[in-house]
Amino acid sequence: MSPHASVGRVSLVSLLLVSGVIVVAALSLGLGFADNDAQIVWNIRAPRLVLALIVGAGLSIAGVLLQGVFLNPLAAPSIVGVSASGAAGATIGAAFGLSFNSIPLAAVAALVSGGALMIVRAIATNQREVNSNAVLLGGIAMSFLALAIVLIATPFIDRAAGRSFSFWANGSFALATWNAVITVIPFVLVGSVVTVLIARYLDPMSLGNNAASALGVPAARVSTWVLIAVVLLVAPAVSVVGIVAFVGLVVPHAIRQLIGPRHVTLIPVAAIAGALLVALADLIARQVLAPIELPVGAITALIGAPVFLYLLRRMVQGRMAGAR
Amino acid sequence: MTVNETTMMQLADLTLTTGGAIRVDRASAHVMTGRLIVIVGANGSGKSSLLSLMAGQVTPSSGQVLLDGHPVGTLTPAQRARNLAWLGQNTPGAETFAVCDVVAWGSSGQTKKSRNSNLDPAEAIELVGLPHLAHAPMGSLSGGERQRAHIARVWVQGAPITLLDEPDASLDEAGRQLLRRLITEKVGIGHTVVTITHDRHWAETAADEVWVMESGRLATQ
Repeated sequence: MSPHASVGRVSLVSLLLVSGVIVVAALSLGLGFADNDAQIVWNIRAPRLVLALIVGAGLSIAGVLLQGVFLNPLAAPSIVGVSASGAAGATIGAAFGLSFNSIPLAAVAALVSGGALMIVRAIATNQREVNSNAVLLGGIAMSFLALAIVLIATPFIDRAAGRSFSFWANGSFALATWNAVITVIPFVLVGSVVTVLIARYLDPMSLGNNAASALGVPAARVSTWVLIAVVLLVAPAVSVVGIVAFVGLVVPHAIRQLIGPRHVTLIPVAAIAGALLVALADLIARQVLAPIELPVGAITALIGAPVFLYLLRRMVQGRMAGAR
Repeated sequence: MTVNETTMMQLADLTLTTGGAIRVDRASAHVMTGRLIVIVGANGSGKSSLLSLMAGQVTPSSGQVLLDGHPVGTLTPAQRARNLAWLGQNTPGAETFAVCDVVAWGSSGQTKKSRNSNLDPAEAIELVGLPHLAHAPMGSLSGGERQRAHIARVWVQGAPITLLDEPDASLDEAGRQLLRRLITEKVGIGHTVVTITHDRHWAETAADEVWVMESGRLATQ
């Protein structure tokens, strides 16, 4: 059977996902509230929804990119250390007095995250080829290191800002504001433009750097731009909502199963699916034990961790090399 | 030795040292048009390292590889791909992509003109005996079938020099015979093929030149 879906199938999947986004958006803006005061909808629920959609789309695109260049179906922002190092950058910046939901703080998160990702890639690379298992192990170690920094830095941050270690480690949209949306948008926009510019090279990159390079792909440059895009799509988002784990792992796999692996279609459809998943997870986090609010990262981890284990099992059995 | 008009590539006093070990030791040779060059040697003798140097994938510790007079390391990947095709021992990845996708990537670095004159991906798939698997995911193929698909990809690339690193290692006897026929045909149209093999008999009977690697040293015959 061909791994590629027809144009009709891609359109149908996209249509269903967009419909899902519309339904979740409607529920997020109105469900569970006795009054529908325009101020509450506009100032509280709307920025929260928009932020969830942007963050979800960014995480999913980042997952597609990482799985593509690291030749590992288990690569994702929260697994290769991008998310946790973004949180470390944000807490360091906040401890030094940078304001939350600000572009300077998001930039510090992106710089620290970019540095961490470069280190992980350098450790995992030998003779221009990336060792896909080393990327994961290096990323896990980097995540532990970054979370330790978050733990140490958190007490130095103004407690009135309401961001505990749990906020950073598990993610939350409870503090979402339009300021947060405006902070994240430029980074995600630039990350998305970079992604569009390199998308045509990503398919042959799945053969590894050397084979792709032999085909005329500027593999080293593409690989670096991928990392830049991933950092821009993830770290600033982490600086405003903390770590929303496993979205970048689950969504690319699910969408790849539905429409095939070609990046030109996979990236936009995964972006819509990621937006839907995070908005839905936030809705569940708010509503399932209302008035108690669960961390959104706990909901995505409840879905994502079993999927990760399932994929790992399939890899061990040799039935999958998934992302590639 | 001066570079004459039929020299496509020149290896000049190439040395590669990694982790303190000398992989290639002052190798010098000329690669001429329309030749079949077969590299033989024991495991660890430096055959793959030499081929990686020729492909521009590894930077030599000293010496240089000149492709059409230009140091191969200074060429862009696209310039290299138009002149040089390379197939590694094991090509990882692309598991979820269809065979026809992977084969078509062979033409990704080509200009429109060369794309028109080179082998069509569908023809290449036919040539390697995989038309029934053209739309199958690479991950569903056996090792030998995967290698046939990658051979088709390299043939679509249509570069005047083709470097093959033990391309027959995972092929069955029929696949090996097919590959050898394809190599002969390629050399027949004026292309150059440099391939590594452990089949010394084939090397001695079929090759225009046999390069023997021993402890990083290259001897040409």
